[in-house]
Order: sequence, then C-alpha cells, then structure tokens
Amino acid sequence: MGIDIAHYHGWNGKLHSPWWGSLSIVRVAMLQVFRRKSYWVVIGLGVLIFILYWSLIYIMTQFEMGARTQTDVFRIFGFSPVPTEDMDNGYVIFMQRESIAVMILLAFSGSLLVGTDFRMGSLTFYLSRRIDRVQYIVGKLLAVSTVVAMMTVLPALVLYVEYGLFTSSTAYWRQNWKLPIAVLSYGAVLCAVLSIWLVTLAAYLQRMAPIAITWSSLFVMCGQLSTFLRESSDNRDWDLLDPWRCMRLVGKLCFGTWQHPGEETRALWALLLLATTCALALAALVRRVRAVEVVT
Amino acid sequence: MKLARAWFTLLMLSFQRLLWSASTLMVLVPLVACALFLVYERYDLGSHDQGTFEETFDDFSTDFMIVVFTLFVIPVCALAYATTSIGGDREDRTLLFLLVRPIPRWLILLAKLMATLPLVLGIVVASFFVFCRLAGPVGREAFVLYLPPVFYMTLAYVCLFHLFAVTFRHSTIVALIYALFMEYFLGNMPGIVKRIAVSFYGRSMMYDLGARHGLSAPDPTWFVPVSAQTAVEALACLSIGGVLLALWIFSVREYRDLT
Amino acid sequence: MWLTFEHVTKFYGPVIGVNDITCRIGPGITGLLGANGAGKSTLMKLASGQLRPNGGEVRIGDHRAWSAAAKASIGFSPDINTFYEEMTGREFVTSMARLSGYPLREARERAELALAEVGMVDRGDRRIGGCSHGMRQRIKLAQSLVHDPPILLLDEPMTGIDPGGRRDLSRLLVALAERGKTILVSSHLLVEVEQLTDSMLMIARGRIVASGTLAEVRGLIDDQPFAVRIVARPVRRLAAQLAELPEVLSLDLQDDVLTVRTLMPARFYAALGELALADEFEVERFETLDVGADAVFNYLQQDVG
Repeated sequence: MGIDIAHYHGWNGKLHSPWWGSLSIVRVAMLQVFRRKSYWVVIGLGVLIFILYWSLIYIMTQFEMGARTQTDVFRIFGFSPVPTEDMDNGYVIFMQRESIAVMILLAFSGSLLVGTDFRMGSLTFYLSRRIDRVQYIVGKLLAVSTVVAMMTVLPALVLYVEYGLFTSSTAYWRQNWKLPIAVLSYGAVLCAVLSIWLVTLAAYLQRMAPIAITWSSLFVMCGQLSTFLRESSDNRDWDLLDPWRCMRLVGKLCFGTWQHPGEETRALWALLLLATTCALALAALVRRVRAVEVVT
Repeated sequence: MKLARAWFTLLMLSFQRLLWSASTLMVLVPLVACALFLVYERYDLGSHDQGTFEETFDDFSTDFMIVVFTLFVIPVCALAYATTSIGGDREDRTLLFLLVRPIPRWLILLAKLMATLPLVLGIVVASFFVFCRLAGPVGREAFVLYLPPVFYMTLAYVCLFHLFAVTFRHSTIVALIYALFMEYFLGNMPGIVKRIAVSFYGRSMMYDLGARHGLSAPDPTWFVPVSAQTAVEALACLSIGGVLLALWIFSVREYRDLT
Repeated sequence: MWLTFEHVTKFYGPVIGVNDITCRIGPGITGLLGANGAGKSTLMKLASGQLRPNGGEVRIGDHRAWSAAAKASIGFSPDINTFYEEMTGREFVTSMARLSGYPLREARERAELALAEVGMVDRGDRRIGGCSHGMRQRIKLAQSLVHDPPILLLDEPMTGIDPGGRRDLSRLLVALAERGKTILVSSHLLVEVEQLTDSMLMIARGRIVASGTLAEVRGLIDDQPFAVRIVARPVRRLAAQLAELPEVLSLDLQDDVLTVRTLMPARFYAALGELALADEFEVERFETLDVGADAVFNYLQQDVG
C-alpha cells in the first residue's frame, strides 16, 4: 500500500511542551503499579494500618471514656490528635507507621518503574521521543512520589479530616490548622528524598533483590542500630543514622514543634545530610541516564 | 553418571553465578554496618563501666543477636540468594535453557538449593564469627552457644524462600514482606500465633541456650518459648517440608507459570 | 527418531492454544508455518516439554516430551533472546554441553564443533552481552546442536540473521537433515521455510490446516484459482484457443505474456499440452504464479478465518 493511500499526514497543530511527557510517565507508571496483584497485597498492608488508626479515632471520638483512659489508649498506639509535650503530631507518627509498607512497595517499584527501563532497554523508547533525560528523571521522581504520597500523606490527611468530622464542631480543625501543614511538609520531604534515592538506586542496581536488600538495610537496619546507639549512649544525635527520623526532623523544620533539647540543631544537620545525599544521588542519576546511548 | 555430571555442573554454575551477583555486594552493606556498630559499641562502652559479664551477655543477645542478626541479617542474606537462585533465571528467562536439558526438574531445583545453602550458610556463619570476635569475650561465648540456632534458622529461611521462589512470580517481594512484616508481627503477637514464625524458634533456642548466663525472654507470660530441642525439630521439619513442597511444585509446574 | 503429536490439545485458561493436533514428524526438515498467535510456539513448547498438553500426548521417540529422558533427544533453539549475558558464547555453549552430561574436555570439543557449524569459532570469546542479534541467534543454535540430538526444534531460527548467514544456516540445516536428523523449523516468514524444505505443516487458530509438500497443499485448495503465466508464440492464437477450454476461468494478455486462471489445473495442463502439440505452439516459458507458500498460506488462512 502506498504511503499516500494510508492517509498519513503530519501533525498540523501545536505540540505540548516536553514537560507534559513527565506527566505521561507518571500516568504510565501508575498503570503499571495498579495492574499488578502483588502491589495490591503491599497496599493492603498499608490499608490495614490505616484502618487500625481510623477505627482508633472512631472509638476515641464516639465512646465515652475518661481523659486519662483516652490518653493511655492513644499512647499505646503512639497516636496523638493534638501534639503534647511528650507526644508528637499523631498524623506524622501514622505516616511513620506506614514506613514498612512504603519501603516494601518502593523496593518493588524501583525495579518495576526504573530498573526495567535500563535492563530491558525501555529507556531508549522514552528518550527517542521529544522528552529529554531531565523530563524522564522528573517523570520517574514524580511517579515514585505519587506512590509515597498515596501511602502516607493522603491517608494521614483523611485521618485528620475524620477526627474533625467525628467531633461535634469545627473547633478541632480551627485550633489545629497547623497539623495538616506539618503532614504536608513531612510528606513533601518523604516524597522528595525517597524518590531521589530510589530512582538512583534502581537505575544502578536494576534488579529487585539487590534493591530490596539495600533499601531494607537503609530503612530497617539503620533504624534499629540508631535506636540502640541512642539508648546505649543516651545521645539523640544517633537519630541522624535513621533515614526516617532524619526526614521527620526536616519535616519539623518546615512546620513543627520542638520537643527535645537540641532538636532544632539536629534538624539542620538532618537537612544538610539529606540535601547532600540527594544532591549526590541526583548527580549520579543524571550521569547514569546520560550514559545510555540512544541511536536515532 | 551423565546425570550426576550434569547435576554437579548445574550446582557449580549456580553457585558461581550467585557468588558473583550484585546480591553479594549488596549483602556486604548491612554486614559492614553491623561490624561498625559492634566496634563502636565495644570501644565506646569500654570507656565506661560495662557491668557484669551476664549483663553484657544479655545486652549483646537481646539488642544485637535477636533484634539485628536474627530478625534482619539472617533473613536478608537468605532472601538475597534463595529468591534469586531460581528467581534470577526466571527473571532473565534463562531457566528455559536448564529445563530443556536432560535433568529432571526436581534435580534442577535441588541443585539450585544446594548451591544456595553453602553460600548463605558460609556468609551468615562467617559474619556471625566476625561479629562475635568484635564483641569480645561475650561474643566468643555467644558464638559457641548460638551457632546451632543461627544454623537452623538460616536453613529454614533458605528452604522457605526457595518455596516462595517456585510458588510466586515476585518471590523477592513476598520474601521481603514475610521477613520484615509477617515475621515481625507474627513474632510479636500474643498467644501461639507466633509459632508459625521462623524467628520464634530461633529466639526460643537462644533463650534456652543462653539461660546459663541469665538470659531470659523479656516477658515469659507473653513470649512463651519452646525448648531448644522442640525448636530444632520445628525448624528441621519446616526446612524439610518446605523443600519437599518446593521440589514437588517445581516438578509439576509448566515453564509459563514459572516466568 | 520421530516426534509424535496424538490428539494434542492445550488450553491457556479459557483460550485454546492448540486444538486436537495429530501428526508425526520424521527425519528431514519440516517447516511449521503460521501467523502470529496461530499456535506455532505452543506446539514447539509442547514438543520441548515446557508445556504439558491438557489432552493427548506428545512423544519424542518412545518418551513423553515432558520427561527428562526425552530432553536428551532434543535440541531446542527458543525464540527468546536472553542468555547468561556475562558469559562468552564459547563458555555458554560449553556449559550447555556439560549440562547435557558431558565431561569438561568433551564438552569443550563439542562446543568447538557446534560453534564451527554455526560460524562462530572466531567470535566465540566475545561476551554474549555485547553480541549482535545475529550472533546471539547462532549461539542459540550452537547450544541446541552441541549434544548432537536426533531431533532439532528451531523456533524462528532465521530471525535477525543477515542474508549470507541465512544461506549458511540453510545449508547447515540441509546437511543435518541429510544426516538423518528430524528438524522442525517454525517461522511466520514463509519464504524462509520454502527455501529450506518442501515439507510443511501449516497451522492456523491452533489447528493444523494443511500438511505435505507445497504442491500437495496447493492441490487441497480446490476453490482457489491457479494462475499460470505462459510466454508462447503466437500468443494471441493460443489465447483464443485457450478461451474455448471449459477449464479456463479467465485470460489476461499483456505484453505478449498470457496469464491464465483455472480451477482445474491438472486438466488444464493436459489440454495445454495437447494444444501445443497439435497446433505447434512454441511455448518459451510456463510457470504457475501463486503456488508459492505465501499464496497457499493466504488461502488457508482465509479458509480457516
């Protein structure tokens, strides 16, 4: 069939900016995530934790119990609807409780959303379009950030709304309007740091097993070691060894209350640490994507 | 004779591919972190009053052996190799080249298991030895006492993760969920639910064997350990049962279900 | 050695892969033809023991294809393109020989022979990860030949190989067939198989729709007209006489080349011969136009569709 008979013709309209390509990458990534049953199992684990907190808030707001009992129950679950001297923002704590599910989900996502692009050569297809490697990287970072936000920020905000809805007035929301901002700032730090680290790690390691080992070492083992070192030496600076605590400290820098002496200084150190590692990771990522030769 | 030669070749090929894989490099990350932690603990606390031998032994057993080594290092080392021994071939689709050779399917999986087991046991036991040396006199005592639980737990995890590898397509993630989520939650549940967790038996053995140095379960009414003998039997049964089930599944599954 | 399919049916969930296939494939080259999704790969996978039939039986000689004993008699070159990428071609083929049970020394010798047969001796030390598509195809073929199996199952073996390489490969397969090997070659490019062999199995929608030589297969299609091109002198008079024949469906005369369509080729050939002798027509060239595999295949596809 002649090409003219096939009615091929050039596009006469105005093409979108290549930055729209990043959004397409996010959309494709989300489709990849939700198509896999294994993902739903991990998401289910996260949902279990959410349901636990959702039920806790429901019970605490709907059943009559003394203030002391209420505090004790909240303390058991490490949740505090209003930060007190020794209790942190409960919604931020909830986000941290989701960390294992987030970690497993991201270990999986790293291999699926980024590793396969390098291993199976799909990167060539992306870069042979109008998008540059910057748009590709931004797209992948946004995709991972969406997964993180879906598991942490979104349910945390739902819990905040739930607490307000189950009380008899809007007073809770008015008096605690800073809480969702703290959730959002912590969420922003989580999304930024986790996405940069994961995409870089996955671009280099590519396969699921090495990514899972490194990722779990970073988030589980470092956390455990940090706790032991902090308790044995009675020095809170060891919190900086735990990436989750580092991110929480930086989140507090944005909009948080300081509970321990020297926490603000530690938060600045955490910021420096995270910013440095993210900058190094980004440089390594740009180098890695650049290293792929696209034959046109 | 031909079959034995082919099987041994497969075993050696699998061993070499696992040894020189990215997993080896990545497993070194937590191991080095643990070593640094122990060095710091020993020399930093050495400058303070360390307490009696029993107290230090208790700290080492509870903080390091149980929480870090048993609940993290052993499962992660087992996961790194056990899920990739057959999973790597599945992921790369090279399993096909093995399945069209004149080796019965169950022997293919057995070769993979036999290649993985010495590697994981070697890494776990060697790192355990180094960690115990770094911990000083307490560590030397712990090495002798805790070698059996470490051995049996490693064996159980390797066999269990091989079962995952032939059953699930994304076995690494399933193993990770099991090791970090299920083991943690099941191992910390009240009642006898925790008896389905591998780590429960390992911890039980440690509490039993470490009792001579005053080690005991944190809350005996909540964590009701079984005897070391029962724990060995449970872990051995789990390992053998897991392997037999994995061999059966692998021998009946079609290649398309494995990829 | 014979490869036998007896009433073989394979389902993929609710989808049928192959449907009640019965055939015996013996020494020589047999082409397995079919469009994408026709069931060629399923048939290959059943023959190589990757899949088990839901119904019927696949046998390699006296053994079921699924059994390990049957695997000793087959060499399989799959359509996938992945290997142990960190190995060299030589290491890979040697490893495959050793996995077939040969001691190291013999495995090396066999690997050299196999690499020589596929023309990879001089490039055997290159890492597979850095090999071109054609070189990977050759390595794949070498690993299937290395243990000298009586049955070769080659899934799309020509894909990615340059024309010179195809010619070499065709020669190799013909030579192997002459040594008494049973070779089943699958392809959706009909011209590939047509050049290799005259014996075909045509598969469409999971069923074997035709088997035999191309001419036999063509003969099965009685509702499709044969096109015959004739260059003869005097062409116009010949055209006039042919138009009288009841066997002729249509005539087309262009630039002294006559194209005749007929539904009864045997009777037409006889009548043409008689005319040529009786009226002394000078027939310079005579060729059937659409007996090629493509035409046959298209007819059969339409028939099944």
